[in-house]
Parts: sequence; structure tokens; C-alpha cells
Amino acid sequence: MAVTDRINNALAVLTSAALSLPGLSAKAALPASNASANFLFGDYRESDDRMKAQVFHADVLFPMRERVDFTFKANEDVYSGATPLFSVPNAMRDKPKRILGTNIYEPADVVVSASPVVGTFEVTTSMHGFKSFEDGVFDYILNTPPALQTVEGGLAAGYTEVIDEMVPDEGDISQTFVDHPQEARKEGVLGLNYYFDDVTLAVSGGVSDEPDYKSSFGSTNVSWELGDDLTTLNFGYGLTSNEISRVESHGSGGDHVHAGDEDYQDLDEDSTYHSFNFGLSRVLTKNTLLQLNASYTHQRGYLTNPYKLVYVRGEITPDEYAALNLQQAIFQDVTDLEVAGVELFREVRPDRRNRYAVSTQLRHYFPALDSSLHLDYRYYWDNWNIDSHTLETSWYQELSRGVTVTPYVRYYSQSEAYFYAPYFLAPRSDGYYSSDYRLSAFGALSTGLNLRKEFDRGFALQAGIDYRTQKGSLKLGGGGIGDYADFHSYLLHASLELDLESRFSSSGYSAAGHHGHHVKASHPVQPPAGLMFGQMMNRAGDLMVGYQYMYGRLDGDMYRGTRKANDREVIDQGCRNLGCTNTSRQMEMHMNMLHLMYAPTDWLNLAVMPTLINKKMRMRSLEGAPDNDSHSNRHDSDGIGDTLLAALTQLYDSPGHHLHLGLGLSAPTGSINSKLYDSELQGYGMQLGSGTWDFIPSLTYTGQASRWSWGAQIRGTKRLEDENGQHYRFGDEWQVSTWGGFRISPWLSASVRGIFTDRGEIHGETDRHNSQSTPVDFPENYGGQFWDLGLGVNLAVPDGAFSGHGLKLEWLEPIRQDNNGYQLDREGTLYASWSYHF
Amino acid sequence: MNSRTLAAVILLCLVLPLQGCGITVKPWQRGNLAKREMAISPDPPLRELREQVYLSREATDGGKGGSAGGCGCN
Repeated sequence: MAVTDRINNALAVLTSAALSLPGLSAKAALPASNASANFLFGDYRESDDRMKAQVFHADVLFPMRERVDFTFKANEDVYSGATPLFSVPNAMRDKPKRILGTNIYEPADVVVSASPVVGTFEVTTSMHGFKSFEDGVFDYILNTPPALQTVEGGLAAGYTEVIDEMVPDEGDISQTFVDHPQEARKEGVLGLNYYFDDVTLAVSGGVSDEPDYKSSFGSTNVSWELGDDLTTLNFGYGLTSNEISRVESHGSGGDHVHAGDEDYQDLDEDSTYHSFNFGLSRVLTKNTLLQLNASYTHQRGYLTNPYKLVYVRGEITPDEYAALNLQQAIFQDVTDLEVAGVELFREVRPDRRNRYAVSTQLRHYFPALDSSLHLDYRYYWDNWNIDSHTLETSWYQELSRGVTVTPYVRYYSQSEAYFYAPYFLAPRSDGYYSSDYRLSAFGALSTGLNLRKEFDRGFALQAGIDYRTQKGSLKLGGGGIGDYADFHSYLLHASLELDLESRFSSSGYSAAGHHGHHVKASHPVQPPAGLMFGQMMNRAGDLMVGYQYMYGRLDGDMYRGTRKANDREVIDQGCRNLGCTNTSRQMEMHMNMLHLMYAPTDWLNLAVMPTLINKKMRMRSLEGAPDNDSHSNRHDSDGIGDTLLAALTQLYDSPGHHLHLGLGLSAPTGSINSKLYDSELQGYGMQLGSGTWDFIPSLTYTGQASRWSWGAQIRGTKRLEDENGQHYRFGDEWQVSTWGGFRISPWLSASVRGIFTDRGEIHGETDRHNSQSTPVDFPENYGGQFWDLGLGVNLAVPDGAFSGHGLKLEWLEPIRQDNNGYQLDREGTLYASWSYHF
Repeated sequence: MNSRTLAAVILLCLVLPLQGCGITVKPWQRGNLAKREMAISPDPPLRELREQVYLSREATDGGKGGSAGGCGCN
């Protein structure tokens, strides 16, 4: 009896110990035990200079109370490149067209998108130079004065000839591409998980913002663990609401079609998605888990791609082209489709889509190999007649020292939508058309390899590469579209996973305090948030991960030197002798910096700081300047900025005083080719990097006595090259800061800082096509001397589960500026930073 | 064999052989199932990154239990 009891007790202890491990139930229906964070960078590139994208991701998970987790996720994608606009057979291209005013004919495409064609007249006359047109109407035009020409009389014959000459064949189809200027998508998602005894409730919501696509979404998911402890049911519902517009001057290959009252309205549409999901996961053996899922999504509203075009023959007849040419009709009279060029129209998709999917996901662990197999299959179908198969498998192989290698293979095959064709030789009765290759029949094969290393300090690093090839011929069972839309792509990714409560940490502030030595370190000097290279870690082996956000804003009047300049003066003197027409009204900069620091010894720290930058500029026209609408009202640039590498060396350290030297190098990873939609180079200040390698030395002194702390820093920026790829370089810079701080409580302190900055002017000048109509286009309007006052608060967690974490805020208020040339008034700068030292 | 029949065959092949087991897995036998690699989605950020690529280049969505939004996807 006693023996049985003891066994039962032992089992009970084992069981409860096992159950306290995260993820031990069928689903991970246990609250996360630790706060954690993920950072991920992805780089996606398609073949032949098609689209490329950089993806930045960060998320945090905080267990708030025993039963509640809170998650926050932020994403930014920056993308650009060439994207297919429409396709026609090669045999339809390259028809002889007269070079205006000569007797020479050169091959040209009849089917061209709107630019530079605008309006009915331009669309129809752009067909006139073709030899076939001339052949068709030569006699008629020669013998009939323009005022007497009619559709019936013979003008239509020319259009008939042009169209009839474009004979489609069984041969190659080719796509016309359009350059997509760089744009960014930003997304934020908040989530909450609540853990009842057998039921987990997850709620999340977020927004995604692109220049032409705004989306807000929310979802709720209930998972219910059944009494057998082996089965979990999931029920989910999601709602997505989208607002869709079209950014002018891209996607249509240039200006969109407009001619007085025939102008098409700007796109302003929306769509709504409702998604329902049902899932069942079940523990099958002690090494096997299976999940089944079924989902249904109902989409309604504008489901069309706002940029893609289709070739449709017969949608406008030769008679109608003639009537348009004679201004007897407008586009809206002859077609319901939106005309986007010669024989080209904007695609139209149905405004309803019902999408269904069923899937299985199998996980099996092989104890002998210490590896896990993932095998997923999904079948999808929708009421656009598309169905698809997705088969995906991964093999997680654990090696020694926390390393996992994961090869990955995925095969995908889909059929085409019922209204898809590469080009249309007759109008469709339902009025739906798309030549978007994504609705065609094709297959795709992806392979990937992923490496992950887990460190016992509570973090993991991961990197991998995927290669994907998409081909018509890869479609399951054949019958895919031809090879004209084939392409391949690479996806590189690297990520950092971080346990924010590494309880086994052997270092950090709190540990230092507990061990009784280095007591000072439990209240280290906290320099203000905006000070770069202000703080060192003084224990060998220490690590720090930090994130800094900076927001800077210029707004209001234009200044010359220390005084305001009126519009007249800016027009006359701001743009050399060319005369300014516009000026910036507001400029904003958001900078996100990831800060990774390591102390190989107690006197040396090494740091890497990659940045992600977003700049926005709003323009206004100058009062009294000649009209000029060549500048759109708002400019953006987004992407990776320059990357800082630094070494900090301790020069002097005593209980009250500390001095360190920083040697920084800024690598030119930021773009200096940021362009406007019309391919003009943006102003110098709108570029994301300097384009040169820069040396950034600094010397920092900090002191403290009881609750007071103080410090000073001098920092310089020296450009190491004479000019960057655009033949200029930014001016050198130096900055002096001095501050005082007071510790209000063990975890809260406040600071006041004075900052003086001297920034040299730009040397040289870009030789690329750029605007010359605003002060920001000229290098002499950069640099100057600036005085700021900084007010800051610092929060540091000295002990407990979150020891080692610090939060800082600082606001810089401009006091005085003495700038070179003509510049916008400065509004201030906000710094916010989080750091975790372990 | 048409597409739907194929799908049914694949689904059955994956699910049927696994029936009948799973009756005797006690909580203390679940150490392996608790491993990170045995999660349905061990690495959500990477999975989302891949899904984003697939979603923007293929005509398929859904069926994996997640939901998100926002992608003009040119």
C-alpha cells in the first residue's frame, strides 16, 4: 500500500512538473511563462528586376497576470521593382509606324498603355502613324478635308486595318512591365489571450497602411480542450475591412487617362472579408500530433487589382474608334470598361468571392533521431473556379549545442480563374477580365534551409534562405499557362528571439547587486535617451539588446540664418537664380534603431546598430511664384538607413567618475537614390543614408554622487570619402552635450540636457535628374548651427523578473538655429528607447 | 482523376492511418510533444513571412487557422 502511494505520489509530482512546462497540452493552451520578443528581417528578391521587398518585423509577448498574455506586433515592408502590367502575343507587337514628319517607318507597339496617351483623341491618333492605318485610309483622307470626314465615310477603315494586322498566333506571349516606385506598408497588431481552465480566448486587432491600401482587421479565436486531454477544438472568426485607392502615376505606366469631362473618377473603393475557421487538434501518440482545419472566407466589394490592365479586342470597334477620334463620342459611350490605352482596359473582377480550404497538419517526433517531421497538406477552392493543392514539409533536425537545421520543401499548384486569359480576342458577356498572372494556372516549388542556434543565456539566432520557382509547366497534371510569366525568387531571413526574463542570467544589474560587489552598478548612471554611445556595460560577457525610436519634425516658416524669410525672398534667393516655385511646409522623420551590444571584456563594448527610416515631406507653393504643379504635395522615402558599428573603450573608472571613448563607423547601407514618382531624385535631406563611410568618434564623461548624476559628451562625424555615388557628400558634424540628472526613486530619474550641434554644408552636387524648384534641391541650403534643450525621464527596473530593462524618453526643444541658406523651422525631436541588459 | 478527388485521396491518406491510436497518452508521456519543434507553428514570424510571399503571388488563402489582413500586393 505504502509502495503504491509512493509511486502515485511520484507520478503526481512528475505529472505536475511536466504540466508546468510550456506547451505540454495538445495545443499551447497554457499561458506563456516568460515575456519574450522576436525581431526578424527578410529580404525578398524576384528574378529579372521584378519586385523586391524588405520586411522588418518585431513582436513582444507579455504575460500580464496569471491568466492573461498580451502581444504586440509591428511590421514594415518596403517594396519596389517591376511588375507585369498586361500581356499580348509577340506576333501582335512591332508594327511599322512612321516617324513623325519623315518617310521612315520603325517597328512600334500598337497596344500601349496610357502614357503619354491621354483622352479619346490621343488614344485614337496614336494609331494613325501605323502603316496599316495609312494604307486603310490613305485615299479617303487625301480626298476628304478633315471637317468632312465621317465614321461611315471611311475613317473606320484605318482602325480596322491596324487591329486586323495584329494577328495573334500560337507563339510566345510577352508581358509589358511597369516600374513600381518604392512604397512602404506598415502594420501594427495588438492581441490578448485569456486562459480559462479548459478554454483559451484569443482576441486581436490591427491596422495595415499602404499609400493605396488601408486595412483594419480583428479576429477572435476560442480553443477548447476537451475532457480527454487529447483533443482541442478551435473556432475562429475574423473581419477585415479595406479601403482601396490608386496612387497616380504608377501602375498605369504614367499619367492616367484624362481629357476634360471624360476623366475617370479617382479610385475610392472598399472591400470586406469575413473569415470563419474551425480546427481540431489531437494527440495521437506520445510522438504524434494532428491538426485538421477548415476555413471559409466571404469577400465582397472591390476585389480587382487597381493597376493591372487587359487587352480586349472588339471592346471598342473600329467604328467607335473613328467616332472617338471625331469627338462624336467619349469613352463612357462606347465601353463600360475603363480605357487605359490603345485596346487596353483596366481589369474587372467579380465583387464576390467565396473561398474554402481544408487542411491537415501532422507533427511526428522521431526519438531515435531527435528530429521532428512536419507534413501539411491543403486543398483550396473558390467560386472563381480556382482550386489549388499545397503540400509542405519540414524536417527539424536537432544537433548538438542547441543547433537545429531545418530543410523545407513546398509544392503548390493552382488552376486558373474563369475570367482569366493572357489576352482577350473578344469581349466577355459577363464583363469580367483579368490577365493577372496570379489568377493563371501554374505551379510553384519552394525549397528552404533554416539554421537556428539557441544560446543558454535566453536568446536564439536564426537565419535561412528559401528559393522559389513559379512556372506554368509546374502545374499539377500539366495544362498551365505558357512560360512567359515564369519567374523565380529568393527569400533571405534572419531573426533574433529573446527571452526577456532570463532568470538564469549570471550578470546584469540585479545580479551585480545580489552578489554584494559592484553595488554602484545597481543604480548606474542613466544618460538621457537621445545620447548616442552614452553608456557602457562593465562586466565581461554582458549583452544588451535595445530599440531606439526617434521622431524629428520641421514645420512652419522658412529661415535664413537666425531670422525668418518671407516667400518673396525664398523665391528670389532660395534656388540660386532659377527662382523657387515651392518649398517644404513640413518634414517628419521616424527612425527605428536596433541596438545590439556585447562586452567581450570589462573595458571594451562592441555594438551594431541597424536602422529603419521613414521620411515624409509636405510641400506648399510659394506665394507669388509662378504656378507649378510638378511637385506633388507629399513625398515619402522608406527603408534601411546607414548602419552604425562601434567600439567603446573605458578610459577611467572610479566609483564617482567614468570616462569612455567611442569609435564609431557608419556604413553606407542607406539608399541615396530615393526618387519621386516621376523618377526625379528626391532632395538631399530625404535620402535615407549619407552614401559615404563615416567616422564617428566620441568622448563621454559621466559622474554621480548620491542621487545626482551628470555628464558631458563630445561627438563628431567625419565623412571618410570625398563624394558618394551621386557626387556629393554631407558636411562633417560635431556635437557637444552636457546634462544633469536626479534620481527621484530607485527606478525613476529625470534629466536636463543642453546640446550644441554644428553641421557643415553639403559638398558637391548630384548630377542626376532632380527637381530644381525648391530650396531642399540645393546643397547650400543644408547645415548650420543648432542649440537644443533636452528634457528626459529614465525608468530602470533594478530587480524582480524584469530587472535589466530600461525605458527612456527625451524631448529636444530647439532654442536657436543659425542655418545655412534657406531651411524650414525646427519643431523638436523625441527620443524613446528600451534596452535590456543581461 | 480530377482535382477534388485527388484532394480527397490525399486528405484520407494523411488522416486515416492515424485513427485508432491516441487513447493511452498520459500527461507525463508528453515530453516530446512539448518540444518547440513539435508545435503546429514553431516559428510564427517566419511562417508569416513565408505566407506573405505566397499570399502575394498565389491565389490561395486560408485553411491554416490564422487570420490577418492588409496587402495590396502588387
